[in-house]
Amino acid sequence: MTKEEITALISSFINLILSVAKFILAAYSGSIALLAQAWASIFDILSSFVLFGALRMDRAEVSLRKNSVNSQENYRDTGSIFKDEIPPQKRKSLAARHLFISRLEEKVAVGIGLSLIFISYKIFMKIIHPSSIVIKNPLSAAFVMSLLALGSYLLSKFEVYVGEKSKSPGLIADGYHSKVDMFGSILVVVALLSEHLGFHIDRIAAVVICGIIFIHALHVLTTALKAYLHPQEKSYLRNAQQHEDMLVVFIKEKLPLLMDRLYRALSEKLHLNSENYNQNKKILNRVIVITVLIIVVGIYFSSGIYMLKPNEKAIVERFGKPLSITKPVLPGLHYAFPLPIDRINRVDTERIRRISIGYKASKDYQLILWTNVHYKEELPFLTGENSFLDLTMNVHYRIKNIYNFLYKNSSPEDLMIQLANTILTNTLSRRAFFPTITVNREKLEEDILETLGRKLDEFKTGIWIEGIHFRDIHPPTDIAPAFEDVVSAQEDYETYIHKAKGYENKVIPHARSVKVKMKNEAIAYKNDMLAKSKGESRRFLNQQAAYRKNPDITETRLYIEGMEEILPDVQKFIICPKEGEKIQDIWFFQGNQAEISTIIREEK
Amino acid sequence: MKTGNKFLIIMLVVIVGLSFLIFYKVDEREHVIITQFGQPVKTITDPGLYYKWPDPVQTVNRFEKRLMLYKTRLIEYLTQDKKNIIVQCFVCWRIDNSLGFFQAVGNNISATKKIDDIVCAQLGSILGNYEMASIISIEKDSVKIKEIEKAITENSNKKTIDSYGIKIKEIGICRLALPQDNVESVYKRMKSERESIANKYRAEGREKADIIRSEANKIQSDILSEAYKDAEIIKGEGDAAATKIYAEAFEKDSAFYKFIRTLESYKRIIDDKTTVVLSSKSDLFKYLNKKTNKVGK
Repeated sequence: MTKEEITALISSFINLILSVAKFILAAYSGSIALLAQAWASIFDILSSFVLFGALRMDRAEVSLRKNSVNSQENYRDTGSIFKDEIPPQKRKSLAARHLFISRLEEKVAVGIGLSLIFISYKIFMKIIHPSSIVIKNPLSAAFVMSLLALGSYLLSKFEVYVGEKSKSPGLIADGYHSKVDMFGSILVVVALLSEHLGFHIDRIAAVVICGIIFIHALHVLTTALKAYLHPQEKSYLRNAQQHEDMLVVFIKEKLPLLMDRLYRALSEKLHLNSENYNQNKKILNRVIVITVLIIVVGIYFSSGIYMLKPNEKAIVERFGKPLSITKPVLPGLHYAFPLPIDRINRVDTERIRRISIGYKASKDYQLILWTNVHYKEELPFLTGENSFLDLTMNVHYRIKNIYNFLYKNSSPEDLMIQLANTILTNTLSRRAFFPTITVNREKLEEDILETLGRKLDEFKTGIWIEGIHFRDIHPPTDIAPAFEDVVSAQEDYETYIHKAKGYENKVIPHARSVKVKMKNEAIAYKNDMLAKSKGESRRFLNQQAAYRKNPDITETRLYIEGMEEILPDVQKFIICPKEGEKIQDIWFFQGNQAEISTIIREEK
Repeated sequence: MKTGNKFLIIMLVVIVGLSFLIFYKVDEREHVIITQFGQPVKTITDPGLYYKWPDPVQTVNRFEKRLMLYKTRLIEYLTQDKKNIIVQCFVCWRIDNSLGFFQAVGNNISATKKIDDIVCAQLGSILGNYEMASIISIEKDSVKIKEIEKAITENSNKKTIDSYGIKIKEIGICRLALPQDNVESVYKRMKSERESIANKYRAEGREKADIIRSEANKIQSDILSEAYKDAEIIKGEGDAAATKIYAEAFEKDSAFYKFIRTLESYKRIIDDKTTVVLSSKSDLFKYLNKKTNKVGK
């Protein structure tokens, strides 16, 4: 092993320790930026190993080639040398080996590149995930992290030193690498410190590191691709290591050029003497530094300007102590010292907030019927009769006392929900079911409003209840049909009575009409009788007067006329009795003629 | 850049860095206990900016000053009259003695666990002294939930305030429920109650309907019978009058009346379906016998 190889190995080992430490720290603090930085460093190590492998293989190849008489220069210059100087068999194995080596390196490089893209994607998804990042112990993490940054810095110094001494470009590049690592670590330290002060820039720092990883990944992939396309130019991968860090390239090469251009432009504008260029440069340098400083300080102090919307109030804390307890800052434009001196706690006090109690609302709008399940979940309350009642209540409230709201309870709104539940449980457990569901609802609302308001004041929540609204009160859905059946039974009750009334209304008038009819008939009968009797008696009297004049004749006439009238249609038997025999006339009314004939015959 | 400048910048960075380690804020919402190599040396309750030795030497421990809320799980208990009930409570607590709290409990998570233990045990033992009717009842003055809550609060507080540094301000029963089996039977009971009420309505409806019907029938029959009565009276009057008229007329010659009336009735009685057996010696046929019947004799 050469000196460079040993250095590369040692630096890889140190890097490994550093990145493991970063992983532990990331888990300890929960910072995403730190995690991203840890991943970046672990892939740095992989790159270092690739470099190590490349160095070793270089050496192996050189010795191989020396054995096969060829000089390194010949090999490097052209590919055609194989034809002339290497025996065919050996040439074949060398070509195969060459192919194999280059392929392996490329494969590893492609693998690293792809993994880096995957990792950067993963971290990016984590960054844009909406869950809030809770960073624990930012201060101690920052402290350890700055130690690690120092470690990276020393390592880079060491690598560059050895690299320059042994003239190994790979090692120098690795040194730059460690330097970039150090910058990343410092960025994380800054992020952690600002986290401690209340600035949440963890995500931003993570995005920056993620971007560095991504660029790195693209670079590795493109160089691997290049190496694949030009298998003869073996140096691609190694040279690539030298320039892979765009940041270093920029700081080392591009920035001085840019600065120089700026100086020239500025000195032209200001009509400075171009002869003492260096002196001008110094002055300008100072001007630029001061300007940047002023801008930074200006931005810092102007970050204290804040605006409160018409519905907001705020309490400003100076070093944790509220400036005014009774007089919160009112809407408008205000100034407070920037963090970490002042902190603004703004609360939306005027907007009426709403909380639902007794149910979890489902997203789709369903009809609120007793028999259908209209919320995701309803919490039944027990009433005094030991029956269940589903009661859903909405509370409208706003923040009356911002100081109490912020400083007296850790979760005033949760407390309000619990108090409301408690009051409901307590009230309902002594109330009967039906009065609650039907009458006295308004009274119940008022009672609960008053009790809840009093309790909230007692707990100094700073909440003012605007109103309480029962959305719906009903028996549990499972047994609601039974309740609705009672209503239909009531309807049935009415129906039965109405039907009976209908019968009554039909029958009695009919009876009355019959009554009148009967009376009229009777009267008619009476009149009939009278008229008949009068007529008949008159007829009789007339007849009798006539009869009296000649009674015997008239009687006989009447008798015979009568017989004439009667007898023609009648079946008649005329019997001649024997002498002395007395025979009676016999009249068979409606009798059967044949039968009568036989009777008569028998009698004979 | 000059070395002096560089030095200045490094100094500035070091001072800023150290100031973060030395100065610390105490918020209005919290108590702070400063520990020196683990040993508590200072308790700060007023908000403001303070200083201390940098971190490994002196450490800041922050404790919430505000009221905190804890909600127990739903737990099933037994009342004195051996009835099961499920209760959920909320506990409102705060750190009363931050040093005691720091030593005995440490942090809020372990505090809620301990509070849970104490409150749940208290709840069980106190509910065991009360009957179901003191939790759920429609009778006046029977429900003693407030009393129960107060007893639990006091007992729990007695346990926590000295040895845990926790002041329990209030415990409230925020939910009451019955075990699933009981729920089923309560549902059954509520259902049968409703059913009986529904049946009552229907039966009463039928009853009223029947009464109305029968009354209607009665009225109808009353009307009809009265009508009959009236009709009969009128008819009787008619009959009487007719009879009188007839009698007045017929009494002048009752023999003649009897004769014609009889004849008339013969005409009506005897029709073509009548069969007559007549003696030739009857008055009508007496002229058929030559011997006896001689005209003008």
